[in-house]
Amino acid sequence: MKKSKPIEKELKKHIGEWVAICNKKIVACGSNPSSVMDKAKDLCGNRETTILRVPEKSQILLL
Amino acid sequence: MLSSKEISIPYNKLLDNNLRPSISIKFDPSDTQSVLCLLDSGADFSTFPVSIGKKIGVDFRDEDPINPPSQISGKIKCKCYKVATSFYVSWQTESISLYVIWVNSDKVYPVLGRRGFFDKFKEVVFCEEEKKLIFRW
Repeated sequence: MKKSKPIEKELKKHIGEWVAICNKKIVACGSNPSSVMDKAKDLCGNRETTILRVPEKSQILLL
Repeated sequence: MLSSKEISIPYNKLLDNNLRPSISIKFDPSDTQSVLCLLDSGADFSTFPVSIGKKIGVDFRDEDPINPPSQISGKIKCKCYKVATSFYVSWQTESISLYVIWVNSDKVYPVLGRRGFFDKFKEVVFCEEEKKLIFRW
């Protein structure tokens, strides 16, 4: 059986992008969060989904 | 006697061992989509991209742009709007209302800052040793 990669490894490919995660899998990604939310809705329906922007390895956030 | 409640939330493992203090919020409690936000005790304001605002129904047409907060202004060319917004966290049934700085750039991270969020709680503890957040209210 093919073992799925841990989500953290998968997220590395999407640094700086918006991604949608459903059932511990990335189901949508892109530069526009609204499109990612739409794609995820289409694919996941009413399953719980988390939307996030994948942070760079190190960053400073001061607002 | 004062009753106090608390919840602890583990830091989120997003990349390698870089654990980040973050929480998920929903703009509509019945929605199945939540947005993961970084918690920033050094940020005065909470920020989100305008595109998420439009998605959840924030109407920016009548809003006048404000000067971007200093940290954003030097990094991203963008318009910002300060709009009263409500959202939900998983451990409370009532919404949290605050002024959000909506930034017209998809490069901005969803961030929860102090004004309107941290001040809703008696204590917000960043427990670095155990890599968890503790909210007391």
